[in-house]
Amino acid sequence: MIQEIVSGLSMGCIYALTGFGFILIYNAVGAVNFAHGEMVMLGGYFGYTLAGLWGMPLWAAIIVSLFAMSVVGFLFNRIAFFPIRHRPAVTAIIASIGMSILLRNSALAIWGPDPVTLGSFLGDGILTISGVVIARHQVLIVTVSAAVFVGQSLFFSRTFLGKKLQAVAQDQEAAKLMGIHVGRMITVTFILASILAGIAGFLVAPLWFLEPGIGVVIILKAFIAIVIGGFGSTHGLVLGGLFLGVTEVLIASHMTTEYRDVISYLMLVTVLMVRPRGFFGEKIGKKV
Amino acid sequence: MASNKRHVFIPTAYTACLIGAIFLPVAFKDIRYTMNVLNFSGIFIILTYSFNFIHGYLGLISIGQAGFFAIGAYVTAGMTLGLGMNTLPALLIAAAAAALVGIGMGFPSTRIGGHYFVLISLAFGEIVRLIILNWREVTNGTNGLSGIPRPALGGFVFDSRLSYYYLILGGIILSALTTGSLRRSTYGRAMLSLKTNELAAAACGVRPVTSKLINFCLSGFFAGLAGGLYASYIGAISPETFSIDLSIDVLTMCLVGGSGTVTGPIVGTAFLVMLKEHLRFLREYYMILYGAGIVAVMIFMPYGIVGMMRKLWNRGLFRPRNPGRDPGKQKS
Amino acid sequence: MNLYKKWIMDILLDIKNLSVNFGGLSAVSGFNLQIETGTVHALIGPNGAGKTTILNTVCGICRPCGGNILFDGKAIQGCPPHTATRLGITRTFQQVQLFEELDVLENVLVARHMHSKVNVLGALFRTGPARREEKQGRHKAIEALTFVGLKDKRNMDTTCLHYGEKRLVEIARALASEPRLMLLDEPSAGMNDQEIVHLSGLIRRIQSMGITVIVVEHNMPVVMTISDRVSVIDFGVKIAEGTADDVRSNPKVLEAYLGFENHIP
Repeated sequence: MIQEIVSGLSMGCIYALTGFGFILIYNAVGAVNFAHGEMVMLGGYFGYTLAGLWGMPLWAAIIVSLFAMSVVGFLFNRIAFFPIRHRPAVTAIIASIGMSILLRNSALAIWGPDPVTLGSFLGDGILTISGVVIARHQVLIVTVSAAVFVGQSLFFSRTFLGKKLQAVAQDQEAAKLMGIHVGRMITVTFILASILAGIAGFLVAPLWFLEPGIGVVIILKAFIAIVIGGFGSTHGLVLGGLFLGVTEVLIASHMTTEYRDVISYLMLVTVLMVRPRGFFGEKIGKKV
Repeated sequence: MASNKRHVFIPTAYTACLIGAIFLPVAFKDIRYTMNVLNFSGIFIILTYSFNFIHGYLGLISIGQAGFFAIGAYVTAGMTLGLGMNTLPALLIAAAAAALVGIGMGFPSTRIGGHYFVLISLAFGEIVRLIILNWREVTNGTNGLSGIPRPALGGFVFDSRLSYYYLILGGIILSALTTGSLRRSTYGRAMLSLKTNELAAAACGVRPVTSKLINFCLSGFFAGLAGGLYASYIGAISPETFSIDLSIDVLTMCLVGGSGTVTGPIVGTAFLVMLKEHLRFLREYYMILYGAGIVAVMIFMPYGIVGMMRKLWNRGLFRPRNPGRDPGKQKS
Repeated sequence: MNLYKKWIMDILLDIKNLSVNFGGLSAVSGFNLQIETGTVHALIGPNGAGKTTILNTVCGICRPCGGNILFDGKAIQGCPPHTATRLGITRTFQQVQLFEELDVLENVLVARHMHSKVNVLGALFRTGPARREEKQGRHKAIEALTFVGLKDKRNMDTTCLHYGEKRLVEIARALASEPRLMLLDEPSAGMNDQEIVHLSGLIRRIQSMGITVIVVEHNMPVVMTISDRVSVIDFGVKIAEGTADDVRSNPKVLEAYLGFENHIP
């Protein structure tokens, strides 16, 4: 049981990490970025290409990948969000659906449909602590995620750039009036979100097999984490992600493996019906 | 008056198209490939109308239409194969079942802001697909179901491609008429008011939940109908068909044609089907272009073909200027 | 005095001890107001005094933190907006809120929806009752548009109208729902003098139809001409009430306005 909880926790961290990048973009531009899951997939594939196919050492691969992800994020914003920034949000959401297809099929064309895998940063070893087997990679996941969440909390509250980003996320008009270059901040947000997606990709690739279709599942699971945790609350997101991760593993091992995802998705619908604001967040729903 | 011309022009155009549609297949009735394309397109058109209800009237993005399509298909299969029912009543039951489920998908949407609906619809589509995939006792899993019979009316069986064409055409006409009738009715106005300005709509006494649920019900009905028609046409169904890609295809067809219009789904589907046929040689690169195309449509042509033509019409491009208008006025 | 007054006058709207907070900021506190049936009652006060917030609580957009609102004896605080409308309260907004996808007549027809008795299937299949209802609804909507003087523009796109006309469409829409109480939020804003005269006439004719009106206004001449009673609000609290003349010379009111103007930020 503890075994399962531990592995659920690491999966949950990834959901929370993905969700965080997703929320960053949503807060900044007011539109759902449907292609965020594909960004995570890309991060994984970059890693696979650099480290797996070209034999770069992992530490170099991750640096180059994250750089590449920043470029992708920048281009993504330029192509799919910037031209339609003044249109209603629905337009942007559909454009992101288009980008999702574009990225997914590009990956399919470049890397083929067969699943591939990426080695872990810490290697494939395992640790055993009082009878519980923990993969070193899982430790890595939890550590990196913790570092990211602590880091972002400091970044947004202590640094000037972080505060500017927050201002844009809360009220673009007011931020503009205060002399903040909103367009630039949005670009930065996209780059940040892409880097986070890239990190998530590196973390998820050794766990799941990488294939072009995983983006859809990842974004959905991340969204479930967001909804359970509640919008507007980062702690909620982390807890929501962990809850989802653990619940999934428990369901898979004690109830049913094939319907595991169905139950997760049904959980989404139930939480939305019963407690739309999540368990820690503020009320969402109607935009006044 | 200019608007009178419009009132005469449009019904004439519709009648002409209808006559054209009735006589179209006569030329192709022996070419199996063309008839297949026509029939599949027709089924898609009905499916696109189902998306049109949700997006055109409520402004919500649904990428779960494949789920309703699947419900329609599998319930039809279940009724005919499992219970030995005739296909026509089975079709109606399947559509009604999908309509009910539509209400089920609609409920969460009333609780959460429209932006997130896209993910709820995605979850819904996936739930349906996964259940179909794994509930082997009922749906036969990946092997699918086969032997679904064609509909029969009186003694006549719709077993030729040509006869099925007319059945599908009937379905299309029903969808189009429903869309148009809704638009002119008080419920249609209520839904559009919700889409434009939910606050003002509520201040006018429109009940958001009721209007939305009616819409979801209609959407589910037509998607389910399309699903049943599909199942009975091919005779065999399996889970891979009912994927997200199908839902996204439906979305694209509606948007390219013009969401919220009565003829948009037909135009959009026809256009994309022809495009796909002509670009077959691109194979997998087609999908990459397709994704880029969606982005391009959103940037350059968000109202679709029919929507754009309507805007041009409103700006007086096709008729003399109406003196009551401000000629320089742009719709923001 | 109040009990006697209540007995001889018909109080349509009774707001008792209303308070509204927005995240720690008190927008309205301890507010009391009684509106007699058939009167035109003006709410005036400096910007940000809480007038729109009060209207919002009455029509259901805003949920008060404390206090009661009785409409014809029935408690309505916290009701959702569509319920308030169905009970007979309609409003216009400070920024005109029309439905851009519908033309002028259809905008007004939306307000008739709540009077619809046919169900969806009837409406879709255009059954006899549905057609009759639609015809009657159109008739009433055109009546409302004629009342505000926009009958000729009923088939036009709302984007073709200028601001004053859009405001009139909003008023026609509010009338079409056959309200008992109408809340007008700064109806004269954005109108020229001619339109304002027309508006004042409209409000008086609305009153003569038996509809009770609450008007939030900044335009003093309008307030003077149309109101039976005026309440002055500042910082979410009522500081004066009486007839228009009473209020105009009230020192507290003068201070609220002049003091506000002389305030150095």
